[in-house]
Amino acid sequence: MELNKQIVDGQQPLDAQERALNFTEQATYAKVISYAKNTGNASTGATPNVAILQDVSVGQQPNPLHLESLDVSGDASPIITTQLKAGKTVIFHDIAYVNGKDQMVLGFR
Amino acid sequence: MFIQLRAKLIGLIALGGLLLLGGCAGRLERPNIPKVISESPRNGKVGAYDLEAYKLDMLNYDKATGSDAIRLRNKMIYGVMAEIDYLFYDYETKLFLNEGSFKVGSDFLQLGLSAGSTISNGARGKTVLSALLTGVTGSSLSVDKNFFRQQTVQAISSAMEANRDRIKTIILQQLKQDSINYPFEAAQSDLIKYFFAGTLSAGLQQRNPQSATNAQVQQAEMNQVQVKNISAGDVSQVTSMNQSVAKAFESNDLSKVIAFLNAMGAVVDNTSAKEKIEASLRDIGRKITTDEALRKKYYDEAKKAGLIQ
Repeated sequence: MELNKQIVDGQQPLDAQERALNFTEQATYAKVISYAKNTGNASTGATPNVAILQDVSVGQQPNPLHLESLDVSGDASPIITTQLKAGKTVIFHDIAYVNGKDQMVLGFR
Repeated sequence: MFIQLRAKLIGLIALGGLLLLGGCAGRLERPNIPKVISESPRNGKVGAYDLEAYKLDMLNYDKATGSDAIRLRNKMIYGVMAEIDYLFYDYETKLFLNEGSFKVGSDFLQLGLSAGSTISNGARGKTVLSALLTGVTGSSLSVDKNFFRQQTVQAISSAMEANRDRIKTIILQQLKQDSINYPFEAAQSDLIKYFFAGTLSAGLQQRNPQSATNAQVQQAEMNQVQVKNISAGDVSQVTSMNQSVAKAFESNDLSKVIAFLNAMGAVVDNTSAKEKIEASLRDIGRKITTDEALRKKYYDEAKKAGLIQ
């Protein structure tokens, strides 16, 4: 299935970015497979994040995406453990902008 | 005495070696030019299309009409173009060979002089080009040398080639016209542009604004396409829409979906393949992620079509 790129404003808080990603998935019949800060072509002070989306067939839309974040040097294992217990799996984990600052962002569904 | 003689002998051998190397370097620049190109069969002089031939053609062209005029015009254009091409490729070769000297910090003026002497290029420079370029002010090479050093010779050369190709295409397209709509005087103007498109200053000019424009476009795109300000209500609406569309696909009743897509400007009907309808839905979906006005219309039309409440 086709891959597409979508830029999300990294100045937004995490919940707003989660809504942006879920909206994009539903509207474009796709699923996010990676999410990280954009390091190319961004002007000074710009904080864009890039989502890579893979098209899914109509009717095959996966469950909504849930985002968690922590400091870049923080320990992600408690968050992952909690989410796994809730029946979710890790979709991506990478450094992205949250409120304009670097954070480790994890995506679950 | 013997030591002095030995030193002289070593010096002579070294000098001979240097001369040999110099010869090799000359050969590295380019292979020998075939005589059919470097010498005119008409007079044996350097320059395939010389000033005398050009003057004669011009005289005949002024008197000619119809197909004769077209033939002479085209002959002159191709002749001058070949001269310009020869000079350009010769110049380009020297530009590449001189690249090392820029990197070790030689003055930019050196390049200007070397380019000037290349353009003169002995007998060739005194032929048609001199006549063609009479009255045209020389292109200024007053480009900041620090700027020049930031560009690679390859990049500048590519820009020059692109410039030349663009103008050459225009000239060749114009040849389809008769000599009234595209007289040689008009071609002369285009040939001057063609010549200057292959100069260093044109290459630099081509490089810089393009880079600036690309950067501006990238920045503008970056500012425009960011997804932001999505509310919980927005997510709820598109999720409902996605589910309704899925049901319509499953039941093979796409009438509501088609009505919605038509209202949004997509060209689909009940004979359209599912793949086309799916592609139209994705296309509109991508647009509403960043276009808030279109997003509102999307909800309104989806409601009218009975896909969401």
